Amino acid sequence: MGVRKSKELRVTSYELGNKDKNTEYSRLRRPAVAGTQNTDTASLIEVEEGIKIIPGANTIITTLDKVVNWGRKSALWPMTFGLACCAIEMMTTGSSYYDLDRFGIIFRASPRQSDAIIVAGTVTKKMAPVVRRVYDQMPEPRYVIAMGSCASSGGIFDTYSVVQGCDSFLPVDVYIPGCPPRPEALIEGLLKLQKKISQEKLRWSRWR
Amino acid sequence: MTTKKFIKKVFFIEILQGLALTLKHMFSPAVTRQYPYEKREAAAGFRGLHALVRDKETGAAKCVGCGLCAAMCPSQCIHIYTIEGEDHKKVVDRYEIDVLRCVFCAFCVEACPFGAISLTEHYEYSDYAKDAFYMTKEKLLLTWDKYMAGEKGEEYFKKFWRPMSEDFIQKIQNAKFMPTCRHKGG
Repeated sequence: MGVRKSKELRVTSYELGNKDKNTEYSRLRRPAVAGTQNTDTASLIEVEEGIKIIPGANTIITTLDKVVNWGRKSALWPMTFGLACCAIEMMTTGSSYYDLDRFGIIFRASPRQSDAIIVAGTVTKKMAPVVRRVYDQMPEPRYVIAMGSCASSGGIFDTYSVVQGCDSFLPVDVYIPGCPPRPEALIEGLLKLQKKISQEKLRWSRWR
Repeated sequence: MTTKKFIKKVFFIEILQGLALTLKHMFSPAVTRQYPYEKREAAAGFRGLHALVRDKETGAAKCVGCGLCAAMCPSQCIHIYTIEGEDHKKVVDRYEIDVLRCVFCAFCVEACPFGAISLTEHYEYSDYAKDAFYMTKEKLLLTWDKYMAGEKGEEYFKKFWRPMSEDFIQKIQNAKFMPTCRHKGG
């Protein structure tokens, strides 16, 4: 409940039975291939890019990329791992007021079962190996969000003890600026990450 | 155990009542913030992305390249490069802010004697690569056009970044006409 899909996707599930009542479909229908009869069962309806419906057969055709990415995107579990003041904003984002659950983002208190790590705060040189170790414990596919100035570049702490950006030891996917970023900014970053995940190709395969 | 209690236990009446309450809430409107669809306005004077003030008359940046903001910046994220222009005038060649280093303290706005830099209320600009956060002069001017142009920018400066000496002078002038309170008897 609560996760908002695009309108077209929602339509597919219950309007498959009645074939061509919706005029939108006739607009979306592909031109018939030369030589074949243009019947309803023969022509595929492209609902979204890469998602097609066989009308009358209750069947949706799509690529494996789409399905896998949709699954990964819709259940993105970041890890609760706060380092500094950004973690306070991260906790606020996880609170009921901002309701992250509607994106399928649920904080998970274990690296073994989480998909993303939000590096929230200053990474000191003493903490860096710990962050790296926690990242290594996460199963593939794993994503990294650098939240705030300190995590992305070291921020104000250009000192002997602070790592100048967590991208020096982690592959960062999304950078979120701010000191600290507002909860809304963090949600925006998470949505950007979801967008990135949905555009991945062949990451589920052996030849990635 | 009375029969009434027995029936309640056998048919899970209380559990069903609880479930009915939960089900009822499923159809009530959401009380949470639906962020990407409805956005909360930032508080007045929120310190978001930087912008270089565009002069209304000339259309160029107000900045003269004195470097006070860069000197004041605690995270040293402002880089100013000036060159010699016509008539030996100082011309700002490059004005760059590394936004990822910034801590949004607005000391630069406070330090600027010309009101040439400001912080906008824009905060949703996360990105996949670091390059997007290295703001050049053109980018900063565009940010001004996008978020602070017109009345908004002027109001912003009037409200938050007016020199405090104005307040002080006003206070003294008011004090002159106020009846002084002297300690009696002593």
